This record gives sequence, structure tokens and C-alpha cells, in this order.
Amino acid sequence: MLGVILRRLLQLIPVLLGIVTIVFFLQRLIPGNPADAVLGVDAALSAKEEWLAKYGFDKPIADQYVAFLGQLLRGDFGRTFANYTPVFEVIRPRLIETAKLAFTAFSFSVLFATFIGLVSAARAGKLADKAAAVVSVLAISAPSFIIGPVLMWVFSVKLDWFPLMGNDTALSYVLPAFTLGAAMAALTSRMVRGGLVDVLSEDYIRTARSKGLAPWKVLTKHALRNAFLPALTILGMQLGVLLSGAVITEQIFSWPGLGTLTVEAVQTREYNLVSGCVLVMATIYVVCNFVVDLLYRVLDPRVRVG
Amino acid sequence: MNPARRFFKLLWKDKWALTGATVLTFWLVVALVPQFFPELQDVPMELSARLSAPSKEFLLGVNDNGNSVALLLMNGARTSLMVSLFTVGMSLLVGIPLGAAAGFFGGWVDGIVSRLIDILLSFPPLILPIAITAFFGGGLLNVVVALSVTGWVSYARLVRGQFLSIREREFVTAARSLGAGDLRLMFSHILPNTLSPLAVQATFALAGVIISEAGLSFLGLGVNQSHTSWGGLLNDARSFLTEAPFLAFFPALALFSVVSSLNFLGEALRLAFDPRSLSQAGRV
Amino acid sequence: MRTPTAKTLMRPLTMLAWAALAHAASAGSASAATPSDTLVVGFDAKPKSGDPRLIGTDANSQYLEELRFLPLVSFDDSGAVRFVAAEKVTAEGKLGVKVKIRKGITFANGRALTADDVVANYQLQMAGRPGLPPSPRKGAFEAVKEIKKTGADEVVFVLKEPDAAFVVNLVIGLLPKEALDAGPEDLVGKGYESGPFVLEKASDAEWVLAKNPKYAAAPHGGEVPKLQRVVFKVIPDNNTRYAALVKGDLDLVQNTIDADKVMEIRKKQSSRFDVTTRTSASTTFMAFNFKEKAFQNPNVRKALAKGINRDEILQYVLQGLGSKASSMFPPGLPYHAAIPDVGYDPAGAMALLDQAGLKDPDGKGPQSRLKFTLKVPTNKERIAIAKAVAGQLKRVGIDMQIESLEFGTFSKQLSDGLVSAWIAPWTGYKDPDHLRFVFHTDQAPPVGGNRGFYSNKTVDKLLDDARAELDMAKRVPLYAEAQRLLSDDSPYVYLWYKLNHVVTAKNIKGYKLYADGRYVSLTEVSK
Repeated sequence: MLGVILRRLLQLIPVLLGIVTIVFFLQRLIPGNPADAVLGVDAALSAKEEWLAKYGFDKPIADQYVAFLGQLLRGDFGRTFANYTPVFEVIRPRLIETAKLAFTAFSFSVLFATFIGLVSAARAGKLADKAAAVVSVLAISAPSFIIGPVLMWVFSVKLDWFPLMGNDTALSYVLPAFTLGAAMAALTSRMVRGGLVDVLSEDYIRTARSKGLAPWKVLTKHALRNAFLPALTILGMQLGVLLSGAVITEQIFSWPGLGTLTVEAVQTREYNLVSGCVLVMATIYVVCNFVVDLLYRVLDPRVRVG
Repeated sequence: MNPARRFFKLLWKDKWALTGATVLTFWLVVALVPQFFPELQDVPMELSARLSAPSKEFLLGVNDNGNSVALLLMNGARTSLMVSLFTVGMSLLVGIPLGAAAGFFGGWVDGIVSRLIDILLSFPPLILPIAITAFFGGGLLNVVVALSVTGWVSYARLVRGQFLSIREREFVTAARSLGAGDLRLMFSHILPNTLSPLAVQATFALAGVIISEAGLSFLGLGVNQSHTSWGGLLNDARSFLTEAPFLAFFPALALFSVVSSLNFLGEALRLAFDPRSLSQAGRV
Repeated sequence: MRTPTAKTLMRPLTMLAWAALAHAASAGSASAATPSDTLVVGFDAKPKSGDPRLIGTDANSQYLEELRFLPLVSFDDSGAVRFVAAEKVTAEGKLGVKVKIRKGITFANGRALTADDVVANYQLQMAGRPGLPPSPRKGAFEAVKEIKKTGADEVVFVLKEPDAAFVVNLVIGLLPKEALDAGPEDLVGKGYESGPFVLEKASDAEWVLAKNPKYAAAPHGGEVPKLQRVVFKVIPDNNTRYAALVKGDLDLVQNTIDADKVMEIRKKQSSRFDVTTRTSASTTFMAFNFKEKAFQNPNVRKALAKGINRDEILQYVLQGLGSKASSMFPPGLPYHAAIPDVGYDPAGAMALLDQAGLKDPDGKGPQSRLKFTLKVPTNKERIAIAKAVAGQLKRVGIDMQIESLEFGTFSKQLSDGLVSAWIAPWTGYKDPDHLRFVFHTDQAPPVGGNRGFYSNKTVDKLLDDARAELDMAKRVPLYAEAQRLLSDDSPYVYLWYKLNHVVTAKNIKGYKLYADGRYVSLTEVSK
């Protein structure tokens, strides 16, 4: 086990290095520079040049890259250009907000998916199953920038059941978490259903049932666990995606998370901030996948993590 | 029975998949109309009629720019289907050879491809598309590139996995002992065996791309103003959900019809290729 | 599979779901009316900085800066210079600008503002401080040779060359000199504010300003705030901001509600909200790049002006939130020039295009006389405007393609002179010297704002002379003459002056719109 973890950690290094390198050069390639964003396009050319020189952006790109890597090695993400705040201090509150929303949406969608998946599998081919299929496709194909505003108008503005923004009460999580988790719940419920249908026809289930085990015990103890295995990879990836911020949902519900922060940072050419955000998100994503692999080992002894 | 025959037989029996195929054919025909009647690509502007509800004159209403929604929807079908087909096509073109090479040769080739896949997968979603469209602008091709940059990864992973499991099978070793070269082995012996899961995945991906393009439109990074896409129409309609709900309704309906049709077809394809699941699956 | 299985399993899950819902419902009411001593304002973006040493061009940062830190000068509601911490600004010789500091201005920590503070602030703007990046506004003081304290309440800015427009640069919020060494995060709660409000807390979701208890005297004529608190809610999405307003979560939203929604409020919600408008210091225009052959012909530029039906766009796209423009500066500014308006005249436009040799190849058919690409940044309203203009120009046989670019990319291409035609606004005029920045030959890319490479020696001379002249009464006729020449040349097609608008809940009284959108009248608001 320890060996696996060590090997995974070693593999992490080229991945993260690759990511920061791509991000570094991508940002330098995009037209425009931070001086335009901070000083304004209308600022005097000499002022812009001087400002850029203060940050070393007038040097050859290779030198900048080396300096950037050196800075990262020292654990220094740098500061934002607009308010000269250490990048990590900007990211931290955003990361917390994103994590809160991500875990809410994730739990909601797993719960929902299990429920719908169970019902569909139990009533495979019947009306409930068909209805679940149609609703799932609907949830998958409706973009969240339509679901979000519709929910907002109906349940917040008109019915006043939920607040429209902020996250100080449990109620304020409902609409954004639903918007964010709906498509994921739909996708996972289809997988759970498929897995269940497959598993339920396996011999050991028949054996368990013939031994007189209560049906719900068969489902939860034997079937569900195995049915969840194929969904696990998807779930791990989904959590990784959720944790890297949901730009659309954040934007619509004024949720100050990582996704909108990163987009803003790209748009205002906050080089340090973009690198910091991307590095944080990539690490989270890699860790999520790693945890999924470990879970696999625990849940299914046949699988050996490579 | 070969998969193709089984697919058509299934299609015929499966009302949902059949409806899906019909809907898709309908949209394909609609998308081709502006191709043959270029004057329909110019949607006239009548500002004084803006936001008017569906009527005899404007079948599906008029949007906030004074354009007929029906015409926009037709041109949007062309753009959205084109983006979808090209993106999936390009992703397949990149993903298959890379995945095949990684799975077949293993070793350092696999190492490089796998790390590249890791890098792209752990890149926060949307960052690459944002950077690419910011750099190249939002032309049709650029959106396709932006979506394919990460799109190929899933096919590469799939093909790699298949190659890994197939390359040691008997028929491959047999072919090798008969003197088949690497390329021949890869493309005429192993690849055909990976086609069915690829086809299923690509079908679902066609639907996914349409939705991703809509997401880019939300951020102002979708196809440019000279094209109309369904995602763009939906995003514009977002501002008028209360005053002119029909603006969102028709593009949403179009999007839903195509996405659900593709999903049903994908399901039918899966069953055609994997008859084992046929016996238990309660078809929907 | 038998059905009871599903039912038995569904039961605990259903119960769980209900329990969760019940818990959520008990947690509190969904909507909270805004408290009676607090005004809630909707902002479209988080202020990028609250530190006068770091604030650049970000408008929201500047708005809050002025509410917290008094500047030497500011602008009144019509856009004319207003003295705040400065009592008087006089010329001293040809190169000196003497500022007499008003007595009785104190910081929240109780100390009075002195000439030393002013000198230290402006020296920091010019020379920077170790540990801080150079001030983004440093460029404004490039022409300053030195700053001298000439008395306890008197400082003199010595310029390198005469500059009539210099005084408008003295808008930087003043910090007490002991605060200048503090880090940007250490300015909160230290009593460094001299304005009507102090910052209580700032987060990504909201900035809360509280009444400054020491701000009592208001020696410059400003008002003591009537409300205890002003909360600026950051709501980046236009539709969400509108929803929040309609729901009653916001009391006041200025300039960031879509024109369509303002109309909707006027029509259907007039019992709950007041909508106020006034001319703003903002002019929307269409401009051309003189490197493009077609645009070198003045007839082509004039034809475009005649081919655009501004009334139609103002009525339908801007919903009346604008008035037709014929020159750079809107009426109401002292240097507005009365230039006759070019009316909508499609026949005249086509005649001019014929004269320019651009004949329509097939009349009503799809082919065009002239094809070019107009670039706009990705912004809903600006794209809508571009689409309307394109639709109108099609009627006179011009094929205008629209390319929308991400804002940073658009700005870069524009300032590099790479855009052949664009529609954009100029906003926030401080001085007519703006014309030199926009039309002087020396200001062509990459240096200044002459992004279409326009060049006219007579105009250059007039603008240079006007800048060197210190007497505004003598400058105005020079600018008027320049504007007349510019109108003949039409390097710009002026479209409209936008109207500032503010939507306030019915119980909000006393808010006054300023031409440049500043929020200083928040002090006068009662609820």
C-alpha cells in the first residue's frame, strides 16, 4: 500500500510540472498583459512599461519561466497585481466556499442517484423506470444556466422559499446545490441502475435470495455495493470537477467560489493567481482520483491498483 | 447476428430509439436547408417586432435583436450539429492513435501518453477553452479546437484500455506469429475490436459537446456572432425568461430533442454491441 | 425483481429526505428585508482594491475610495471640478499649481489632515514605496517635477510643462502619512479614513461601509451620512442582480440593470421602485482605422453615419436610455460643442457610397458594396448594438461582420491599432484635453488613444494650443473649432450619450445621480 502511495506521489510531480508549464506559457501567449488590466489600456505607454519591468515581465520569457519555477519551489505563489495580496490568501476563502457547495451538491446527487437508481432497477421496464429515464435525459440536456435562473425565479423570487444569494443558512444551499448536482445525479442514477440490473442477475444474488435473505437486505448488502463499483470512478472524477469550481452555478448564484475566481483571473491577466488556482485545483483532482483508487481496493479485493 | 443488423432490428423494435433516429434525421435535414438556400443564412432584422410572441408571421416568435427565432433555430441547428460532429471527429482522430500507441507499445510511450492524459484531465475544466478562444477568437473552428483539446482524452483512455486487454489475446499472438507488422496488428486486428465501445461513447459525446458549447456561450466564449448556435440562443434567452419564455423554450426543446435522441440511440447501440445486457435490461 | 424490495428500501430514504428538508426549513426565513438603518446597493463586480496606493482604473474601487478617503478634488454631479480637501487651487507662475488645504478635515483616528500628508501621499504615488508595486496611477504625475510644501496648509506641484488639465489628477484618496508604510491588508479598522464612511468588513460577497463617527464637520460642504451602514452586494450576473432587486434584497442599483429590465420595472413595478435618469459623461461612437483603404474616403465614413438609424436603436435596444450624440462631449459639460446632427438618411448614404465608387452589385440581392469586420468586446449590450447596426447597414448594401473578443484581447488589439472598425464608449470626461488623446497624430498606437491613426495637422495644432492655455474661457473656443473640423472629417461616427440610471426602492429618498456614476450622494440617502 505504501509503495502504491509513493509511486502515485512520484507520478504527481511530472503532472503538476506539466500543468504549471502549460499555464505559464498559455498566459504569456494570450494577447494583453496585466499592465493593461491594472493601469488601464489608456494609460501612458511608459507607465505600462515601467510597471511591467517592476514585475520582471520585460525579461525574456525563458528567464521569466525559470524565475517562476524557482518561486514555486520556494512555496511562493506570488501576489495579485490588483491588490498585492498573497495569492493563497485570495484562494483560501474561495476554496472553502467551493468545497461547501461541492460537497453539498455531491451528497445530494449521490443520495438522489441511489434512490432513483434503486427504484428504476427494481421496476425495470415499468413506468417508473421509463419516467426516471426521461427525467434523467432532461436533467442531462438542460444547461445549468437555464435550470439555475428558472429555479431562482420560481422558488426564490416568486415563492420565497429559499434565499437568492449568500450562504449563511442551510436553505441557501438548496438551489445552487440542486442546479450543480442535477446533471450529475441523473448520470449516476443511470449507472447505478445499469449496475444493479447487471448484478441482480448474478448467481450469488440468486443464491442469497433463495437462502431466504430479506429482499432489501439482498439489495443493500450485496447488490448495491457491487452496483456502485462502476459508478465509483465517475463519482471520483465528478467530485474532482465539482471541487475545481462550477463557473456557471457560481456566477448565477453569486457564489464566490474558485471557478469564477479563475475565470476572472484569466480575464484580468492575473498571472500569479491563475497559476495558483490551477495548481490548487489540479492537486485536488489528482488526490480525488487517488482516493477513488484506494476505495476500489477496499470495496473490491479483486482490483489491484496499478 | 452482426451488430449492425442487430442494431437495426433493435431500432425497429425499440420505439424510443426509433423516435430518436427520426428526430435526428429531422434536425439533420433542417440543418442542411441553409446550406442549400444561402439566403436563409441572412436572418432579417425587424427591431420593432422584437420579443413578439409566436404568430403566423413569426412562427416561433422574435428575439431581442428582432430576428425570427425559427430562422435562428434553423441556422443554429447547422452550427450546433457541425460543432458537435467536428469536435467528436477531431477527438477521435487524435484519441484513437494516441490511445492505441500507448496500449500497444506500453513502456515509455504509454508513460508519456498517460501523463499527458493526467495533465489534461486534472486541468480545471474551461481553463483551456477560455485560453484558446481568448487567443484565437471564437470562430467555429476555434470552438471545435477548444473542445477537442480535452475531448480526445476519453477516447484515448478507452482505446488504450482495450488495446492493453486485447494485445495478449490468442488471435493477436497468432497474427503476430504469422508475421503481421505492428501497424497491421494495431489497425486491422485490434482496432476493429474497440470500435463498438467507441461508437457508443462517441454517440453520447455528440450530445455532450452540444451542451459544452452552450456552456462556452454562457461565458461569451462560444461560436462568434457571425454564427448562431443553440447554446448561444439559450444564453441570450436567459435574460427574458419572465417576459418572453418562448425565447428559451424552443432552443431548449431543440437541444433536448437532439440530446435525448442521441442518448437513446447510444443506449440502443450499446445493446446491439453487447447482447448480454439485452436479456436483463428493461428497455425504456 | 419483486416490487416490495423497492418500497421497503425507499422508505428510509424518503424519511431521510423529509428530515433534511425539515431541518432546512427550520433554519430560517428565506428572505430578509433590508434593515432600516442600512442601505443595500447592488454591485456588478467586487472592488479590486480598497487601497488608494493600489487602485487603478477599476471604477468600483474608485467609487468606494472616494467614500472612505477624501481627495483634494473631485467632480460634481455635472462633471465639473469640485474642491474637497483642497480649498483653493491656483496657478503659480506658468508651471506651478498651488493647492491650499481646507482646514478642519480629520481622519477617523482624530488627527487633522496637513500639508505633510498631502506631500507624502503624492510622493508615494510618484516614487512608490519599497514592498509595494508602483502605483497604477503614477502615469498621471509623469509631468510633475516636484511637490513642495510651502506652508502648513499649502503645497505646490511644479510641472515640467504647462498643463491646464493637471488639476483633474488630484483625485487620489488621501491617507494619513503614518498609514503609508502599512501593508494593503492593514488599512481596515485603523481610523485612516477621512471620508463619510469607514470600511467595516470586506469579503468576496460584500463590502460593508459604516458611518464614520468622526466625520461631523463636513467642512467641504459634504453631508454627514443619514444611514448607519451601506452594504455593497457583489452580484456579477445581470439577471441575478435584477432578480435580487425585484425580490427586495437590494435597495439601490445604479447603471447595472439591463435597459430592458429598467423598462420592465418602469412598466410593471413602478409602485415599488423609482427609476431616475440623467445624462452621463459617456459617449458611444463607431470608429474606423485609417489604415483600411475603404475608410480613408470621407464619403464612406459619412455614408456609414447616415446609414445608422440611431433613433431605432435608442428606442428598441437601449429602451430610451440614451440621447443622440453629434460630438464628443455631452451637453451639460462646459466644453460641449454644438455640432449639427447627421440624420438617418439611407438614400443619402447610398448616394455617397456610389460617389465613393462602391456601387451595389445586385441591388436588394445578397452581394454588398463594402464588407468589413466590426469588433466588440464580449458584452451583451454591446453585441446587441453591433447586431442592430449591422442590420441597418445591410439595408444600404454594407456587409458588416461582427467579431466579439474577450475583453483583454479586444483592448490589446485596439491599443495596438489592429482593429479596422469598432463601437465603444468613452466615459468619465475630466477635461476637454481628452480630444488630444483621441485625435492627435502623436497619440496613434501604441502610444495613446488615436487608435484609428487619424491625422490632421490643423486639428493637432488647435489641440496643442488649447492644452498650453490655462484659461478655460480661452480654451473652449479652441476645442469648439477643433470639434467642427473633426465633424467635417468624421473619423468617428458619434452614436449617443448614454443616460445614467438608478433604480431605487420606493422608501429610499435623497439619492442623486452623478454624471460619471460616482456614489457620493449616498451620504444624503435616507430610508
